[in-house]
Amino acid sequence: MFETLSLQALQQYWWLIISLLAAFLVFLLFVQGGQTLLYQIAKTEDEKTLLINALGRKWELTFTTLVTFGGAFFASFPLFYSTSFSGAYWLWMFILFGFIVQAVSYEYRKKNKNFIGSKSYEYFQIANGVLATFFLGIIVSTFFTGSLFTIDKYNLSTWISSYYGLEALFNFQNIFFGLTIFFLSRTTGAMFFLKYIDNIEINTRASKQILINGFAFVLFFVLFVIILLTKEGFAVDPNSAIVSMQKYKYLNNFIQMPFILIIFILGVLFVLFGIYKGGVKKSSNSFWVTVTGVLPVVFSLFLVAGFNNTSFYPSTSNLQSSLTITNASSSKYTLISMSYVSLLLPVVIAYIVYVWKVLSKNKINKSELEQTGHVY
Amino acid sequence: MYFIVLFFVLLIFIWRKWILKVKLLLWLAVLTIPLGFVASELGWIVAEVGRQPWAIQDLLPVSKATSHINTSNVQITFILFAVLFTILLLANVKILLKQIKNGPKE
Repeated sequence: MFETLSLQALQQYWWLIISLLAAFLVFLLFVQGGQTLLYQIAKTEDEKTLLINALGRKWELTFTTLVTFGGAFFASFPLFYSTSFSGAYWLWMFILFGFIVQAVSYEYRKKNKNFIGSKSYEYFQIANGVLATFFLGIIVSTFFTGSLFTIDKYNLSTWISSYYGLEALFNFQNIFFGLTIFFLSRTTGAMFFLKYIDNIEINTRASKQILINGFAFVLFFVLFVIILLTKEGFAVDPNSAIVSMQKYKYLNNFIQMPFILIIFILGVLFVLFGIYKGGVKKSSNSFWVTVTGVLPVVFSLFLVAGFNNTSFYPSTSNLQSSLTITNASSSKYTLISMSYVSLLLPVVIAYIVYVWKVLSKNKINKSELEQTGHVY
Repeated sequence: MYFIVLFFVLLIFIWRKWILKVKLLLWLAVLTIPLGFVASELGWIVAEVGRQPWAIQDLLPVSKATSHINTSNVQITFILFAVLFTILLLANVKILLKQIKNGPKE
């Protein structure tokens, strides 16, 4: 089946999959956003336990999607993987440490003799919430702003900055997108509490947080998009593969790929409507309305970064070292093999949907928690 | 080999409901716990030492496959990992000891 596709078609197929997984990952970061709201929405120990247990039934889904996203990127575009992980080292390390402490904190928080006390594990969850969302946002933003690396003829990469990724923090657009993802995850986290927790006080505070964080999200997202659409982008000549700077490259990408522009605009409208529903109308449906918008917006941003002869991981040190879906991909043989594996992707999505349905039949409340045998 | 024999013996003892009567076997099971970790680590060492100098046989030497970052960055990462995982190990052991002390739920 996949053998009949050209190498170019396979590369595009894999970029579509990466974009789709990224969209699901950003949606599921509501878990991290929710963790950062622990002390703002919960005012008593019982309320805190409610929040943590609501998220505790979902955190593995974010983890599963993150691993799938990383694995898919590694398999399909290994040159990006080797360049970014070894170069933007500290950004990835912060994300890694955030996820290490998250995994244990759900299991250890309520256990007797947990050595460092429940509060420490709650701080771990907050740390994960901040590090994962902000730094993932920063890394994705470098898809548009570029990074400091070179690649030699043997595909060995060298990172030019001795800050190993932290230099990305000195770029306003990166900061704006990091904060965009951070506040978006907090907004969807608050919406999740509104939807799935049966507690009036929590719901009232969650609704207030939707407004506050929703406003911050919109502010930083607008700033990011304005810069994105007005800046120069990293264009690739399809014949010579030479990378050069092109004015309004990302705006042109949207215009030249109108389908992507339409789903981007529709997605943004859904997100704005969701924030309005959650923050003003206090509607529990705001969560799914917003998610319906988040998925196409992230999906379209990734497509704009990689399609239409664009470098998805540009180098500002040496333009010709920039990575494209053509020069960073695996061999045709690997892509074909992996494409058969990708047919299992619906299984991963079906698993997420199934687990979600089973664990979300009823709203979570104090009496339901007392009946259940496993409390985080 | 030891694991296969031990698990087979344990299986028979559980099936015949003798397991709680033979304390020596229970102690043997407890003392076997670290051996799983030892086997896992030794397996890694054999694989990593045995493959030298190649990361991918005849294609990519380890010296070229490593990240080109300063030693100090690797040292900092190592210290962070060591501190964090030691704390988590202590927490894990304390939780397990407490659970063992409480005993199984009747």
